[in-house]
Amino acid sequence: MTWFNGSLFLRVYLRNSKLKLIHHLLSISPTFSSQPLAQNPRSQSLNSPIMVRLKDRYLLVNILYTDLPPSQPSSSSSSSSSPNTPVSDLLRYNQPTTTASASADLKPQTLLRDIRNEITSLFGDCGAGKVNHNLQVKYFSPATSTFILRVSREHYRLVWAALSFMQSFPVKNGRPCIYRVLRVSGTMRKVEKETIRRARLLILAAKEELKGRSSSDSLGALLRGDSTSQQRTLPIVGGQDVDSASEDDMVED
Amino acid sequence: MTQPMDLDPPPLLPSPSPLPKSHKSTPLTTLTLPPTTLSYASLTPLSPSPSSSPPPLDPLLLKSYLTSALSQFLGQTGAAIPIDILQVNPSPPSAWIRLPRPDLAAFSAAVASFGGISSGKEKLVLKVEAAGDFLGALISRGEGERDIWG
Repeated sequence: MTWFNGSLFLRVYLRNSKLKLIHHLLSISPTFSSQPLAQNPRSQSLNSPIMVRLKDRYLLVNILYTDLPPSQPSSSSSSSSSPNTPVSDLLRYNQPTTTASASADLKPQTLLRDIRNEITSLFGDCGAGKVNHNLQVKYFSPATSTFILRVSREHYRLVWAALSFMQSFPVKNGRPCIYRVLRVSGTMRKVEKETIRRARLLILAAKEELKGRSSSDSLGALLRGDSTSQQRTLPIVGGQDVDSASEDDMVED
Repeated sequence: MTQPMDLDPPPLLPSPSPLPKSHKSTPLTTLTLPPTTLSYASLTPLSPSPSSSPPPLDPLLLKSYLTSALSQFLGQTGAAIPIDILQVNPSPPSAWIRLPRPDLAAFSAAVASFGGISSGKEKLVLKVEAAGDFLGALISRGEGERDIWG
C-alpha cells in the first residue's frame, strides 16, 4: 500500500507545483513593474521567458488658488470700472504659480517632497513604501499651474487621496490652494495631449468671458471635458474617477 | 529438455461476488461560511529578560501603544482603524482585541514592526500571539488555555 500512497502523493505534489508555477508566472508581471530596474527601466530581463511591460499611471494635476478676494460681478464689465487691465475670473482661479520673492523656490522637487510628506502622514511607512519608488514629477509648468505626476499603477489612488488632503503650496508661507486631478492616463502622450487641449480651451474661454458672453462653448468644453476631436478621452468630472488607460493606449506607443 | 517448471497452478479463486457498489455519498446540504466582518487578535508583552517581569498592562496603555504602532506604520488611516479592546488581563499580562477583518493583516504587520514604547527604564513590546477570524479557535492559543491544548 505504501507505493500507492507514494504515487498519490507524487501526483498531488506535481499538481501543486504546477499551480505554483502558474501562480509564479502570473505574479511576475506586477512584481516586475514594482521593482525599480536601475540600469535600463524599459528593457526586459533576458532571463525571464515572459515579456513584461512596466506600467504606470500619469496624473495631470491642476493647482487652483483659493485665497482670492471676492470677484467683481461680471455684469459690471471690468473694462469700464477698473483702470487695470481686466482679468477674467477664470484666469484668476487658474493663475500662474509665482512667489513674491524668488521663483527659484518653485522646483518640482519641493512639490514632490511635499507630496511624499503628505503620503507618509496619511498612510504611514507602509503607504510611503508602496508609492515612493515610482513617484516623480514629470512636468511642472508654473505658468499654467499644472504638473504631471507619475505614479505606480496599483496605488495611484493613494497619491490622489494625498493630493486631495494637501492644502497649501509647499513653499514657506505658501498660499492656500487645492490640487485637482484632471486626468489619469497610462501613457505620457495622452496626458500631454490633454494638457495642450486644456491650455487652448482655457485661453479661448477666458477671451470669451472677457467679451461678456456668459455661456461660452469653450468654457463648457473645458469644464465638461467634451471634445469633438477626441472620442476616447474620459477626463475627470466632478470627482468621478474614470481610469481611462487601456491596453490600446499602450499599443500606440 | 527441461521440464517446464512445475509451478503450482494458480489457486482457483472463487469468482468474487460483485461488491455492492458504494453509492457516492450525496451531501444533504452544503454551507459556505461567509467571511466574517470582524477579526480577533491576542497580544502579550515580550519580557526583555527572564528576570524582570513585564510591565502591567491596562486598557489605556494598550490603546496608546496600538495608536503609536499603527500611526507609525500606516499613518492617520492606520490610527483610525476602529479597535475594540475586549479583555485585558493584568497578570499574566495579555489582551484580546477585535478589529475589522480587512485590517487584520495590516494590523499584524504594524504591531510586529513596532519597536515598543518605553516609560523610563521599562520598555513594553507586544507581540501578536494569535490572530484570526474565529475567536473560538483562537482561545486555545491564548494564555490560559495553551497548557490544555498544547
